Amino acid sequence: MDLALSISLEQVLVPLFLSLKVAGTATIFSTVFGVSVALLAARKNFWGKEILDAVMTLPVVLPPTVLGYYLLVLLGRNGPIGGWLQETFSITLIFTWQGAVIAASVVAFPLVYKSSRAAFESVSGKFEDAARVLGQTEFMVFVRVTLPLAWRGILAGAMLSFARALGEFGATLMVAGSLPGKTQTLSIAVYEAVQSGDDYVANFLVIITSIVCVVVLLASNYFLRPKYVSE
Amino acid sequence: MRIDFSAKKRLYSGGHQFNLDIEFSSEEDITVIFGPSGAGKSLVLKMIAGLEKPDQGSVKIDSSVMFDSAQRIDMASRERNVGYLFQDYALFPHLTVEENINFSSRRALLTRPRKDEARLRELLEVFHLEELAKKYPAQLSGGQRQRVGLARSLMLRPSILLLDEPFAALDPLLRMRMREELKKTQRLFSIPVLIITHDPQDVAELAQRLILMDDGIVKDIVTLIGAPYRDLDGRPIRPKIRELLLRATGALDE
Repeated sequence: MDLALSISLEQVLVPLFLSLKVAGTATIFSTVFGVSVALLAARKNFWGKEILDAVMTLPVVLPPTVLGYYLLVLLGRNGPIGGWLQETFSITLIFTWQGAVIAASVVAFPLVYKSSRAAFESVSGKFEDAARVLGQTEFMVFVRVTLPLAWRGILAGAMLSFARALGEFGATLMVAGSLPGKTQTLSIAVYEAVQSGDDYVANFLVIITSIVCVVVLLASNYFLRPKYVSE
Repeated sequence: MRIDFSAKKRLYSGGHQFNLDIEFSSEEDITVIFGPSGAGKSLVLKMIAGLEKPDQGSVKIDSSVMFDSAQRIDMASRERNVGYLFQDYALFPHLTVEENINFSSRRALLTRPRKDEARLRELLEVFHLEELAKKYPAQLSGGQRQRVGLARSLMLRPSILLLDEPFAALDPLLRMRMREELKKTQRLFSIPVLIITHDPQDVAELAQRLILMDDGIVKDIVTLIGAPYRDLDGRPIRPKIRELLLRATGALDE
């Protein structure tokens, strides 16, 4: 039997596009935040830096359900952040795709943070000193020297975090649930399809997810290769 | 040109304490600071360039006060306009030779760079880099990289050229050639040069004023310019240099 015939296009495209939307937005958030914290950790010395590093890395080791539970407590209607958002802007995050974005951002954050920190730390201080002596302000040193020398590492980290956000399941399910067309992402759709014995849909979704992830990983490896031969 | 330098700084690293306490001045074209590794030579250079801050002291080039702890003056590196050749040249690996040399022309993101095309052409020609202008640092030989580093540091017409172990990374034959090129460069641009080195050959061939440093302090200062080379007491200078260098390297301690 022809595989495509038994699957309606909607069953695949809707969760796929939702996943891309959620993962893409989450990648932007986690990258902006991750790069900022990474720069701070790589360039400044302050008390509690290693504690901050540990906290920032926590999402990698914590079970996604635990993470989801924390988010639920924080963002829920009775939580400190969720309650405030509800009262001030009448915004509800729980069971929305925006909630899924927050869950995916938190889970994906450590990947871009770790990779950016390593990238910044690998930029030798002598290049930055050379730029300072050549009349550059600290901002220009960052834009013209630090960032260009670190951007491949940052990009690789952003891609990994995109792949991770795309595959996010546990925390997203806790925070956003599984509402078809609204918060049901690819990985959650796979789970639902298997639960309801819809093997064709499950197979197809699994293959699509795998292909997207392999492509992202290949691209990320390409960017992690050092470009400049060390002197 | 005259440079006046004095600095005190206390550093701690890995449980060790290092005290730098030095003072010197020079009016010669080529001043060499000689001393073993760990004497604090690089620190002095960085303090002149504003990359390190003394606890106490002052840095003056001619009448321009770049640092003075008593007067609370501390110019930023970018305002000091000193030329700095880093030990391994620190050429920006993501920029071409031409972009490296021109790096200082751009000061802000949104304003147009103040390009000094004539100066760029002159430097490319003087340092034989015309053919290499579009190449990247990784594609150059050691000697070529050094020339790019020199050209880049001279682009802004600095008031002094600081060289950090300029020949250490080169093989001996190239070292001889680059010393000659440096002397020519110094004359051509009539710019005062301050070199730090642990190579006695640099002292013998380049030094007009020699500052001997060890363990954070100045051991001796001699002016070596003008024949016959005699020190202040009228004694011939070459045996004295030899003795000073031997003592500085610890060979005469026993």
